Amino acid sequence: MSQDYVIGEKTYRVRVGSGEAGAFDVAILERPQEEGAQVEARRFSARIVWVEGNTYALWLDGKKYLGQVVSGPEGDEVFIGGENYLVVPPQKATRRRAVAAHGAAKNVTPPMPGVVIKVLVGVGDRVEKGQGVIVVSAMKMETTLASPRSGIVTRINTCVEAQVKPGDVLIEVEEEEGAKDG
Amino acid sequence: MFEKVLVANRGEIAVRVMRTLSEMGIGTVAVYSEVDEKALHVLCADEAVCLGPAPPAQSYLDIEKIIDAAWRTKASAIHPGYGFLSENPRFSRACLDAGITFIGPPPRAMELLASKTASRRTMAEHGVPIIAGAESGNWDEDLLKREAEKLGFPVLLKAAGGGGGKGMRTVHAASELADAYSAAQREAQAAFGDGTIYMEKLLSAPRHVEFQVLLDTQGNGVHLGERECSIQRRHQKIIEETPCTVLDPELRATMGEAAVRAARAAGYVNAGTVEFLLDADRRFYFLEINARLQVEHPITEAVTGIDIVRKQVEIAAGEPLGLRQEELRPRGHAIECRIYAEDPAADFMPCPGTILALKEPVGPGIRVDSGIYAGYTVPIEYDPILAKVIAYGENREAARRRMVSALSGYAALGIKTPVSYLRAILEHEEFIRGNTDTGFLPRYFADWKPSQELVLEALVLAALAPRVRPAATIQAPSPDRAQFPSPFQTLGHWRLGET
Repeated sequence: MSQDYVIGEKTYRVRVGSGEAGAFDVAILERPQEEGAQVEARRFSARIVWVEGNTYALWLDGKKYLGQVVSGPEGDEVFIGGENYLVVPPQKATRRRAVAAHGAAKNVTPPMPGVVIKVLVGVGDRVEKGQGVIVVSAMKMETTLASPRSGIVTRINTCVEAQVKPGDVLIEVEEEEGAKDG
Repeated sequence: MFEKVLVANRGEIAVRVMRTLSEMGIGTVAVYSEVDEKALHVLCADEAVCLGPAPPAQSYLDIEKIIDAAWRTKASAIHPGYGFLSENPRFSRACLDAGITFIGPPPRAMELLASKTASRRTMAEHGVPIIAGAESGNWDEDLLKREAEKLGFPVLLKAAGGGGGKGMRTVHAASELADAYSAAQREAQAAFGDGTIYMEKLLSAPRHVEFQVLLDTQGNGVHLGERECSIQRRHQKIIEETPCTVLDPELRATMGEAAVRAARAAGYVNAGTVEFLLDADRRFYFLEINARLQVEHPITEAVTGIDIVRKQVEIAAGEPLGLRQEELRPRGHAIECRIYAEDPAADFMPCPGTILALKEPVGPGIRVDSGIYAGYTVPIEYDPILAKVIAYGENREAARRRMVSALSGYAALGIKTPVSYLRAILEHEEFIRGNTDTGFLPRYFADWKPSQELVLEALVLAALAPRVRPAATIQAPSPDRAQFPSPFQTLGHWRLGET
């Protein structure tokens, strides 16, 4: 049986079959979205043992790893060989990308939960792409959020001392008629 | 000796201080804000008192509430940890007035040192070298520009009221001065309750070398050697080590002697840290005295075998130091890495959240000072430091390799940490050679990206784990589930404070 996953920007298809002596035969294919153009990235003979809690022992072609897997709100968080990876099922990945793309293209949203320190623009102000429009503080460090595009500030949906989180649209910037930027 | 001590702090440092207090047979009182009800320091303490809402001004910075908590729990002394009120002379004076011993320097020394500008002047008078700079209680755009041009760009704007990278900005051109000043001023006001800013000439890529000093009430004073803290990101130390690779015994003795002299000049008692910048020509300049226990004190403990917190408590109780400079012989090498809740792949944005799984490294020569556990939610209101990993070895290379394997075994899931970034620094050839200065990270790590080396292995693990995970496994909590696996069973005795 096979299942798709997304790590970072890449999508992988994992096919798991039974191998010898209780091992699994695992094939990993890249770019499964273009059927017919799949590339087999790797094939492993894998053995896995659940140890305790979120801890697993994994042997891949005889090389041993002690890893951790836990499912989080965005997908499976995996710790292996000292590295952390977020392994996302494709449904979640699509939604994540859409939200990110939407947020990045149009709005000013904080990258982490925080508190608004200062609003640097007013409704009707003309702003340049990359211009600082609002100052947010999280864990006592201040960050200035920039406008993602050049245009006119059409709405300010927050105020000083408001608690904000990623996804909240703090400031809306509309492109001016006829003026497009890349 | 005290029977009970209140620890006016939170996180890993409160936990660490309480550990020594318990070892000394002293009762421990934690204080906490409403969001910290289940924080590790609360669970570790014998008693705990809620101070109020999450914002520091209404909890960990509220002097009156903390003194009141000490009174109600009959704690005869207060340990302030680092940050928060630790370097606030009004707090140590309030303790004095309330008949409570403040485990730290006397208010007069703190008053002097709390002002980075006043302490600069005192050091200059006592022949301790300082960096060229300018002060004013009345900065405006013109004055900023005039002084900066006199010193020559780049310059550094710094908070007179405290350190730790808060309220500090590097300025490269006159056009950036006004914005940098107002940001530094706001940050300083929020962090220290004092928005006074001063200016210093920025040295190019100096080393940051600091000396741990201990002075008792009987006039005895020693230094415990240096700590090299040059691996900094935006003026925030992230890796520290001792000894410093470029100090020879002669320079160490000269700087150590200057450190003790600086502390005496300030009328200092208890544990303190004298910070110096060391330039490429091995000239050193006084930076400041940190009138508190430092974040990185464990590396000094590792090479000297001295429990600095225990010394602090003994000194505060009026006991003699019992150490002589010529008898102090640090051995081996120690390195500390700080684990913050931040995302190295997204410009080190702080990222609070719930820790879904946690495995801390163990083994010979490894120490982890931690303020977290699996299921704990890191709040947004406080400093993002979660834990510190300390590795000791008989020499630098042994300590470095130990740290690399310790970090490889540090698993924290659910939040972002810089563990793989720290490991990459430790494996950088210039770090291995000991060529560290404060320009190290911008020079070699500006474009760092997390390794993708084990992506396929991670994929296999995620795909196969559900096949072998027993149905009855206790699932790690998801943030929207209120039920946490209780750390109460594992954390020893504790009881709620009176309300």
